[in-house]
Amino acid sequence: MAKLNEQQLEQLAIELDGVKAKAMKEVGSVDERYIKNIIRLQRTLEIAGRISIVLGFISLYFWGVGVLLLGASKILDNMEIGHNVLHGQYDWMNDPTINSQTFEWDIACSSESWKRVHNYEHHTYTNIVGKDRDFGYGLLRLSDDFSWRLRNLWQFVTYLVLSSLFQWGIAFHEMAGERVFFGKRKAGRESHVDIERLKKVFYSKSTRQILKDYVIFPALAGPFFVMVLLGNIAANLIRNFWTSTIIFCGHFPTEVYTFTEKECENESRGHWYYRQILGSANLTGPKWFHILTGHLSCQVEHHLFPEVPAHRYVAMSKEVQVIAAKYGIAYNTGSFFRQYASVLQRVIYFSFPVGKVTGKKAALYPRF
Amino acid sequence: MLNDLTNKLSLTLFNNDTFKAYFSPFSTKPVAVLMGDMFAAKVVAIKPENNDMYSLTLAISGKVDAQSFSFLPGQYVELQVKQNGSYVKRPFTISSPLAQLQQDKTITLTIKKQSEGRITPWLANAVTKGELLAISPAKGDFVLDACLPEKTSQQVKQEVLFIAGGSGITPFHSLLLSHVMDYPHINFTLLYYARTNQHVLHDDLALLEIEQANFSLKLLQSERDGHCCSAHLNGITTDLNNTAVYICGPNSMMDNTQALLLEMGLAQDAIHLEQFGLASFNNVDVASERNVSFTTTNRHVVVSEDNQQTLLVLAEDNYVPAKYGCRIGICQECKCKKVSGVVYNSQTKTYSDTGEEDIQACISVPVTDVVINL
Repeated sequence: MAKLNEQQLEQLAIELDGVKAKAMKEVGSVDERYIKNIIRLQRTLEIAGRISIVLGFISLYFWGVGVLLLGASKILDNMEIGHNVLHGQYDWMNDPTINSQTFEWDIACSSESWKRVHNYEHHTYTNIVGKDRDFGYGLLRLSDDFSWRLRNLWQFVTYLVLSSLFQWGIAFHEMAGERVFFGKRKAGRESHVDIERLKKVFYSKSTRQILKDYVIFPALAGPFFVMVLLGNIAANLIRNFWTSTIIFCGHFPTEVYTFTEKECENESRGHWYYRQILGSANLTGPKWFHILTGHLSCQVEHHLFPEVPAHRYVAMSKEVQVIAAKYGIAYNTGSFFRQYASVLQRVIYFSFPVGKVTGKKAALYPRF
Repeated sequence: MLNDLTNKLSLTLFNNDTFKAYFSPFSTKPVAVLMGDMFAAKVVAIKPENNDMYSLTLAISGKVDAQSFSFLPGQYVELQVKQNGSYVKRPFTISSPLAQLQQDKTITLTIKKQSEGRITPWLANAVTKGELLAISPAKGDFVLDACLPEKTSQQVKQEVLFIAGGSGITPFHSLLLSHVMDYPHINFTLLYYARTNQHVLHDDLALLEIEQANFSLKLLQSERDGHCCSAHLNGITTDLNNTAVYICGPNSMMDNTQALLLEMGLAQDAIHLEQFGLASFNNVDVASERNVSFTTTNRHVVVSEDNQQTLLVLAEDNYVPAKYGCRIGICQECKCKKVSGVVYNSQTKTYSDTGEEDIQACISVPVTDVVINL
């Protein structure tokens, strides 16, 4: 792929700014109705799910349906509602219950910590090895920028464990980076928040989540304590696997680019846009699929326009693809199964002590 | 205590501060009403006053007493409306007398369509009868000093002079209809400047003048009579030094009238001004470029002559999420921390300190490089 020069990048920025401005101009009551409908759906699913799980004492089918409903409610809450609201996509509504400064979601990670690590770090330094801690989460070797260690040999298992405990991985993410409980802090690492605050927020949010799903709701079911406990564990597992899978599909399929800090020093707006397209991957699918992914199925558009209400990404992606084609920028998109298979391929490939990727493989794991 | 407990439970079970908040998307009420932050107000009448002013009469749901909704004549409320999916607040003066609230639980807001305004011209046609809006508690200190308890005992004859310019009539309409009858020992005079045939709300006042000996109304036509001058003032009172003066109107009119009164020897503390509207900040030196950095979102904006804006507008133009409310420096909703730099407060016409302090983004204009926590 031929790299764009500064003049082309400048043009690219103007065109993409245009796509964004056009979408933002249309934002209004359509988006308000949309997000409120999704929130109403989520609340309905949650309440129906929790009731249905208790009814499992009549028939296990109720339990199964309840788990699915509650899982779906948690997925909606985390992805289409929480993630997008926390990006400030609906702040313009001036509704204190749907605002990035006040929203709290049904997941172990506090929204406060999430906003720092995700909105700021990940979205600013997308796929810059060493700056974007989401690239491998400090656990997995996903490119040859990292040297191989023995523990990478079983990183496929590590990956499965991370997926099943994904909400805890995220909750612990910021503190792990700050080496709050163990290990040595990297020299020169700047902290945005003091350690005591980190601990306090972590403990209060995770305690509440544990109390809720594993103590209070089961206790409310009285004699059916264990049934509700297991149901809630199952629903959380479903959510964990789904969110982890979708998020991995956003940045780790083959042919997604990685960057070095040097390439991105003082980068222009055009270069930032350029990097967001090259460092993200889309999933194709029907409307319900896009909603359940929180429109992270349009990871490219989300990274280009994180403040635009996400349900607009599908339409915007058509314009973005035209622009990408015009500039010869690789636009990574494919079906869920194709993309996910290539994520697994990456996790497994880099678990072996392969050195620098060369030859045919270099096209699969490109570095900018 | 019980409240704290249920709120804690709600936070734990549903990640919402209250159970109400969790269920709020199912309600059609304005969310601020549902949360108890504002009062529910139902539109009962919309009446045009002239080409660019209209009156909105709102029925207050719930009690109207000092514990719940009440107001002092001269005060304003913030009216919250939803425009294209977005809640917007604007302050409007209550033009109706206190008696109207006590009798039929309604208040009237008389609203001027701001030229090029985003809300006021739109609102006139957008609201419908029966629609539920939200209003804040009454605010503001443009109220009659003489009504304060410690002063009512004074039995000396007092002079109160109201000077209104155009839409600045609204607080005086409420003040006069509420107070003239109750305070026979006060002589009220209203100088009302407006273009010919544009003296809105003057019918009730004309009637009041006929009925009450302690009130005189002077309608002045700006085309014919010009601005407020010493001749107008000398014509109405012999003892300016014993007069409390209240002025409400366009900023330039208030500035000029205040200067005139001071020149004529009136003490500063006898003059009351209703500060409304965004003062201009064109006198800031705009020649040099300044950098505004938003720390939370890590955005950097260069401000020069052609994008001279308040910090709030700069934030919004650059997709920095910023909370806001009234946008004219009243409600404090947009308060945020300035880490460093000097900002010009376009309302108080003062420059800030250089260090860390809370500022209102909607009325602060960056003068030097500014770092702000947004």
